[in-house]
Amino acid sequence: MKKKMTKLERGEALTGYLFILPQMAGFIVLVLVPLVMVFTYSFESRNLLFGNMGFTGLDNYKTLIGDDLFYMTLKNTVIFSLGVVPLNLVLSLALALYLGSASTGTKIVRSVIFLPVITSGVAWAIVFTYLFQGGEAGPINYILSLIGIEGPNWLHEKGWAMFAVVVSRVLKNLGTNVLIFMGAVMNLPQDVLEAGRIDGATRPILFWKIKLPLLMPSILMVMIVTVIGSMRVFDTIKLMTDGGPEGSTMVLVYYIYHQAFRTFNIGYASTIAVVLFFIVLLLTIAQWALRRRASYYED
Amino acid sequence: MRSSLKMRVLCALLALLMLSVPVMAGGSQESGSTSSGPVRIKIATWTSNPDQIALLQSFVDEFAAKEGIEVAAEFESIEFGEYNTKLSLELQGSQAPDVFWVLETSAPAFIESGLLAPLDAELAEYNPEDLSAKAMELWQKDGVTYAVPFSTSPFFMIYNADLFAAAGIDTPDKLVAEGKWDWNAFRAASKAIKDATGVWGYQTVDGGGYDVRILHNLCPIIRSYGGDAWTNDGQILINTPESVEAVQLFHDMVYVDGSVVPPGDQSDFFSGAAAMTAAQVSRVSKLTDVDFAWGVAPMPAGPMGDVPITGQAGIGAFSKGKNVDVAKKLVAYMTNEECVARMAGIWPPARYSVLESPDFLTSQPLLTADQMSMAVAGSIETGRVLPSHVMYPQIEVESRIVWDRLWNPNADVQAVLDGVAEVYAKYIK
Amino acid sequence: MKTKILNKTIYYVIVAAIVVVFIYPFWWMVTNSLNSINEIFGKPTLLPKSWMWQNYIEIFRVQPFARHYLNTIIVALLGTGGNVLVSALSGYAFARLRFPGRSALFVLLLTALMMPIEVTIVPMYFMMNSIGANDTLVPLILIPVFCSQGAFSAFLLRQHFITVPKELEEAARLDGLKPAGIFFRIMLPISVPVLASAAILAFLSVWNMYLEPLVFVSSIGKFTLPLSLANFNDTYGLPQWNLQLAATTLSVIPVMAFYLIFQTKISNAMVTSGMK
Repeated sequence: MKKKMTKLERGEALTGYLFILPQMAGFIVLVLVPLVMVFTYSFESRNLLFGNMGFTGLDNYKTLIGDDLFYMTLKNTVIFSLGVVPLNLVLSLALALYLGSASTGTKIVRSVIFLPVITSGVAWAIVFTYLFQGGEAGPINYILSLIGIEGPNWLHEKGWAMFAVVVSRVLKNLGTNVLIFMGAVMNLPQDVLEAGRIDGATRPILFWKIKLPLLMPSILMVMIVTVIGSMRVFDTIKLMTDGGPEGSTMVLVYYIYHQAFRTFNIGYASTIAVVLFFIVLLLTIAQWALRRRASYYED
Repeated sequence: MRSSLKMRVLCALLALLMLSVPVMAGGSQESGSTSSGPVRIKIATWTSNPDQIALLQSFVDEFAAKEGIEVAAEFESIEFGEYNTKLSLELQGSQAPDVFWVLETSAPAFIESGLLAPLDAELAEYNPEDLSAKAMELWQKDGVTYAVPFSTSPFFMIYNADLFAAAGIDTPDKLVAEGKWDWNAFRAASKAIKDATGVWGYQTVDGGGYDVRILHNLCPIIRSYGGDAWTNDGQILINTPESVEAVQLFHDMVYVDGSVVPPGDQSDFFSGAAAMTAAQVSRVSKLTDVDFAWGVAPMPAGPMGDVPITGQAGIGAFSKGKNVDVAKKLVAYMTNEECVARMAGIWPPARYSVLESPDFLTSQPLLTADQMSMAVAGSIETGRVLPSHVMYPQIEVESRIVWDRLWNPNADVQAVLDGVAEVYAKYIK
Repeated sequence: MKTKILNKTIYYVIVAAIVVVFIYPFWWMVTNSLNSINEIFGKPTLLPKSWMWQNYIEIFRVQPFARHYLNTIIVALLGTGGNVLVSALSGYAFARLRFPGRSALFVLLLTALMMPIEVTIVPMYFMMNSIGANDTLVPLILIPVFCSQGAFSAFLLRQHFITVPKELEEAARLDGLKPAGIFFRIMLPISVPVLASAAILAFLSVWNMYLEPLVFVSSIGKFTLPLSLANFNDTYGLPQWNLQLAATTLSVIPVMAFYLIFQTKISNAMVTSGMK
């Protein structure tokens, strides 16, 4: 296969390298190098105040295995994802299917549902911190009191705090998924649906047997993107609960932040970051495998 | 031809983008470097009060005049809750402050880490007799002084006299005069006010008593009951019967009486939404604009009598700063007798000459000499600082998760404090 | 007929419920930004109680809020511009220019797509420190250009350039244009809609950044809006609620106005983000 490049081809190759140079250079410096560094740090006893106290082998990993807080944050991260992902998917899919038509109401819904998406996460978290105030002063509790329910002290009671951050997060990001699903619903093959209707399929059957399987590839894709997004939650947690109460909303990313910048254990924080890296890696591999299957369906 | 021109434009653009990185970084660095001209000193504090900053600025100006140099001071106010994080990050970088305040709880970690410059040479002219040895203890290691406490400030109670009148009960200073001002009387007053007026009886110090200031909130009660968090010689006392009894009292106030501003509620004493709060002299300035009558009283006594708690803050120089020599001299200047006397109305000093001078009692314009002597002056020498430790950041983060269990109505105080003791035991030996 | 009316009613009830749920937080934010601190924690009302417009003046006194706004705009413009420029170049090269190692390099670049900044932020902090870039806006500009968001734009634009008919390039080549000329004179102009999508997504990601400025920026003059909003506290850490809400309102309104003007465009861009 090896053959000499013509002058023209050489020129094109040179241009190609030149074109990708900025991106690749930045990628190496700002992605690859830090990634290698995070692995190195994870084998060191590094402290923000005390500096690098040298290579300590697997010590950080041994600490990790015995660290109850780490397991707790891992569990919290899973709980958070299990709260956010199904709620987000079910709501966005239901809305996309229900609002499929192009009426005025749908247009309004599309607009308002998208407002939180373009609002910064910090602004949204700040507002929800107020909305979830405990006692009668909190607007949400006030509304609940109108229908005779005494609301909890949302952000300061174990369990409710997680519920509150999940709700605010779902509302923040729902808009994107609704839009994606609306696109997918619009692209459903009309002839197949029509054939189903002619065969006398009822609405539930139409949904479960025809629409849902056809939408499955998009659903799976959106699901993984949402899972990865939920692994990365930071602003909501920091501003609304600071990881409390009782550490019940301390998620993996926030634990990294805590270890690195509150207790200054840079080495140990890197070890947790390595774990996060592998979790996201696995999810991404799953995503790519699904994408390949999805495009197989499309053919 | 055209396309090669575009190519060149493109290359130039990219080069610009690449260049902009070091230039922008360097550009801002420039301002920090020294050549000639004024010595730049960056001072990190957690106050953002303009009057307090102005006072500190005047010290810098006088210092510069005395030394015959030009000093351009830049003050940086970091939010209290983020202070250690931000400060530690800055100390690693090119924008590090030259002079900074140190929280009492993180004093051992900062001293141990070598980030604080030794100050003995600069402090040599101080009369060692004048400084309270007890107050200096925390800021010294192996006989070397690394920071000077500019504030040794006891906690006391501020109360809303209007609310006490509305509830028809005796004010704390009246109870003090009768020798009845103890934690039970405090609890009763708090409940009486909540029951009579519907306004909260007590707000914890800066509203942070359930999280960031948990030890500031609980230690005064715990110590006056004969307990403690831990001691400097490594004993953990947080789950002793005395400590448990004290914490139970506070817990009952929150959940049985319902008279304390609960966790997550933002009701603030200074806006009239609570009848009492624990505070220090530095908070008194917040009373300037309030629309209620107020008074002060010492912290209530417990079975062990009156055990005042002082909060300390130190000031030190960054050991790796560019202008460390000037910074060290500045720290010494800012904590000399004259400057300390002028700060005394905000941050009470640990200098006998200032404390014993008649001026001290009138140094805070909002407090009368009587109030000052009752609530502040008497407690400075007898008061004790909170426990501290080299691993304090870890202890704080980890124990916080256990402490949180306390804040629900059915909490088993003994069990929670046993859990806290377990966390302490991991680090305190 | 009756079921039709019922269905219509249900439809409008659902629409109304969604509108209330999504508008109320903003409504609450705006009305309470005009209240005093104590009024915020009183009984919620639909309109401000005292119309304290001075809250909006006060925020500029308490913090250099205008500076924070400017910083955010600088970071957003340079970050978004750099992101689109760099990724358009590489996206085109990966799609259309033949050079050895093309696919391998592209797959390598895609690893950045999945790399959350949270994994690498700690070493990145020390890296930026060593070049003196901490406490400047530089890291905040570089991250959206080259990290995950940059790789995503490159991916998005490559997918787009692949779909452009080859004939366009052939014709241009016959006219004597070199690859760079083709890129600038043919490809970029016809790609404006996709470039806009990439820009919108990059802009939103920059606008949202919180962890990054929290770690890389410390002095108050370098704050961006998210840091600024979270920093409306008095000396002892008690939040200045009404000011915080006023500042939050000011930070939300321009983007919201922008969205209402370019709604379709922005919605379409967000749909492409699902490819991530």
